[in-house]
Amino acid sequence: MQINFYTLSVFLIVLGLIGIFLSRDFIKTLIGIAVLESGVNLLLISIGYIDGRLAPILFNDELKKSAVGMVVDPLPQALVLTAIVIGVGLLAFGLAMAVWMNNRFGTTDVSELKELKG
Amino acid sequence: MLEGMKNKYNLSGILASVVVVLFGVLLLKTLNTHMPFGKDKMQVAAQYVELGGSSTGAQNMVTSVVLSFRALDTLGEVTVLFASAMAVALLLAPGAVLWRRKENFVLKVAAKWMPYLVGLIGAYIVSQGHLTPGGGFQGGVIIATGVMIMLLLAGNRKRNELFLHSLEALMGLSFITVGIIGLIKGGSFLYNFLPNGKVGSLFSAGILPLLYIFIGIKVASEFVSILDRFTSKVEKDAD
Amino acid sequence: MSIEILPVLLFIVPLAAAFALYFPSRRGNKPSKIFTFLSLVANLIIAIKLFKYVVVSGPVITVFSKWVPPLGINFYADFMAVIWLLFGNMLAMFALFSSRLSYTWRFHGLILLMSAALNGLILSGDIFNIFVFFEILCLVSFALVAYYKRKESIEAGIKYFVLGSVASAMLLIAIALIYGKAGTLNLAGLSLASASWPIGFKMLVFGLLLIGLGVESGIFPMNGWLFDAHPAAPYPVSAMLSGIVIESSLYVLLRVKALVFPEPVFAKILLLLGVLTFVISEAVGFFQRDAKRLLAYSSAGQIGLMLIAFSINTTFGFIAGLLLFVNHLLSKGLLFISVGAMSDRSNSRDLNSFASESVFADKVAVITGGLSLLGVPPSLGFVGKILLFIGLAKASLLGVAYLLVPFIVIEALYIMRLISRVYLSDGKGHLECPGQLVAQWLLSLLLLALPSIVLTNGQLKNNFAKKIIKPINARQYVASVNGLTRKGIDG
Repeated sequence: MQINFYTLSVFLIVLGLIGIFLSRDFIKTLIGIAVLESGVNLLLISIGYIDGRLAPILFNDELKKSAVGMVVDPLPQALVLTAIVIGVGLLAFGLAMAVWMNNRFGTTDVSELKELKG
Repeated sequence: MLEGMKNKYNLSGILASVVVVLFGVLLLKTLNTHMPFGKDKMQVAAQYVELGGSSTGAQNMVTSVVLSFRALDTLGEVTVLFASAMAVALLLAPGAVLWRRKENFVLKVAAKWMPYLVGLIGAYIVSQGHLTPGGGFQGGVIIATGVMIMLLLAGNRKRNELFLHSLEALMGLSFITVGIIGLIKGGSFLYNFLPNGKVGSLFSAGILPLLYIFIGIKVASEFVSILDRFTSKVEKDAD
Repeated sequence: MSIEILPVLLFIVPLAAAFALYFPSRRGNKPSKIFTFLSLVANLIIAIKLFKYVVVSGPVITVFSKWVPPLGINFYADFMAVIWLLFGNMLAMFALFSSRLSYTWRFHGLILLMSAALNGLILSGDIFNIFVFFEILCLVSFALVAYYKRKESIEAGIKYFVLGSVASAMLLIAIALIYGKAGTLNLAGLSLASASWPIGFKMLVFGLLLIGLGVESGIFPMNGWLFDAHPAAPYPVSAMLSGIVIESSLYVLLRVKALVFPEPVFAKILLLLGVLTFVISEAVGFFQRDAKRLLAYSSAGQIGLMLIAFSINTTFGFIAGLLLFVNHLLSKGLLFISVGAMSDRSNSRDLNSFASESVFADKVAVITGGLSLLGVPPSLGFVGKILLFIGLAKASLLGVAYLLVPFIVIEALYIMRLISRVYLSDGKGHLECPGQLVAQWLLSLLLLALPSIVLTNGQLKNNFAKKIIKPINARQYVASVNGLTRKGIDG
């Protein structure tokens, strides 16, 4: 029996969001964001999955002639490729902020930055 | 929502978490009713599959989608990484780690051979993007890892900022130039103007492998500069 | 064939300039600024050309890689789009011109990328493509807000970053749901497919889209980041954030709503959110003592007004929304440039001391900008607000109009407070860069001249009102894109 990947991806999404809301340390928030994004990407791919079919690569002559009805949806895979890279770009910036914060203040605890109000 | 970041025992954080769990349940229910897992839901993608190898000549259908049907998304993706590299460079100074370590046999040998091996694997993945899973982004990151190994294991850090940035800029401009050639020759930006070739051979799929090579080199240089900057202003003793 | 290249150029020119910027930057900050400025000027010229064409001949559709939609991605430039493009690129040019000479090439590069992303966002006709451009915009905004690397900049940057990341995840979930249900990502195709979706499903997707786009738009209750980010950012960035970035996010929300969620319940939700945003922002804005923060609250309020105007669904509402948008862009841009420059010079943002280093141009700018923003006749803001009220009356929503009036007065009170501080100051400051002077004068003149041009030009009135200005017409949009599909781009 197949695992329903929807459940797994929603679980990751919920976990990530809770992690973001309940964390005080910025690094933990970033981990929450990473988990959230993994969940969303997993969700996107799972939507493209079709039972019993192959990956969308035309690796033998039969597929090269016609792949209709034989392969999984290639579109979400392309979307996720892009989404993962975008997520990496965002996280790189977030981590840069965390590193800067640590170098300047010696901590990544966000409650230390209380300069701005309401 | 943001109060969760300030207090230790905060009501709003816990409340938000409960809402999130409810949202998760709702989402799951919606997913299972409207788009059941494992069923065929292709509409536009069905046409992609029908066209198969004749659309671009690429054996890897996902590559045709990424670099032909949705090429503009890929250009946007490249831009995101470019913006990210600039943003990181805005915040952090160029890397300055001096690893003081004892002479270690394993590290010495690794420093001689590993970067090239890793770089080769990366180059393979980049150039075969239209045949097997992989492509510019994945291969580029692997090449960057190889270069970082070389930089980290060398006693004195030397990275040539001018070279990295110029490479990055040139590759980006090359990508756009290929697109403009497509515009001039075919009437549409990023039109595939090179011949499709035989599906499965190395020189097939028109401009796709070329674009992936540009992306690969660009991503590699960007990641080297990003990873390099993460090591700034930290002095460590390591053995 | 050549007109279809223009939308592509609007994205490619600033992008190529950003890539190439590294080379002129080796010779210093000034060559880098000049190079950036030249490419933004080129962008503006292209936007003007496109505007002139679309106003006369109707929407322009461009395809990519020669794949006809829905196989490929398309750009769609209609009237509403070219208005956004024209003024957005204009503001980018002015904002960059007025920026300080100490800003490095990375700042200029990020401004170019912001401009490219905005243009792509407005033009794109494919929802995932919109997401990609949106992410570029978000990332660039995060970085620019944190540019000064002070404590407050990083805090503002972090808040913005966390909210923005959650928002983009919500957007992606919405896209996943949309794709799973419809099998396509093209907006025209979605417009057709969504007619058969159950309302519960639509509510969920709309909610996710609202969170995703609402954060960047500044809609209550997701605009917390705005009030910290705008004061902390460098003043050209604040000008662009308030003037075009949040409005472009709103634009996407409106376009998707018009095409995919035409049911009246969604308009009601937007109306309610607009009222809440306006009322709460203006009320809190009244108590601000920080000059730039005050302006940020005013921006949020104006977004609320625009949301109300666009969700009324009549022609009056639509025109009112357009006028409010143009007016806000120009006047808030001008205000942020001058108030921001003054704050930088006097090293303080407190209402009582920020204007200590003001110049005559600053006084002109703040008075012109402030009065236009408030809607003192004969500015565009005045016409916009009058049309908004007429629209509300025609839609039998006069109760809303009565609710808005006291808060409009409140806004007038605190903006006048700002203006008076500047007006009563010495005016003996020293400018850091002549660009600030020129930009302020030009923008003030534009603000003063535009209403008279628009309102008294008879030909303009006839053409616009009757032929061109229509709310986003879903059927027309779909028909033109489908027509393209059927006859192929060579036909």
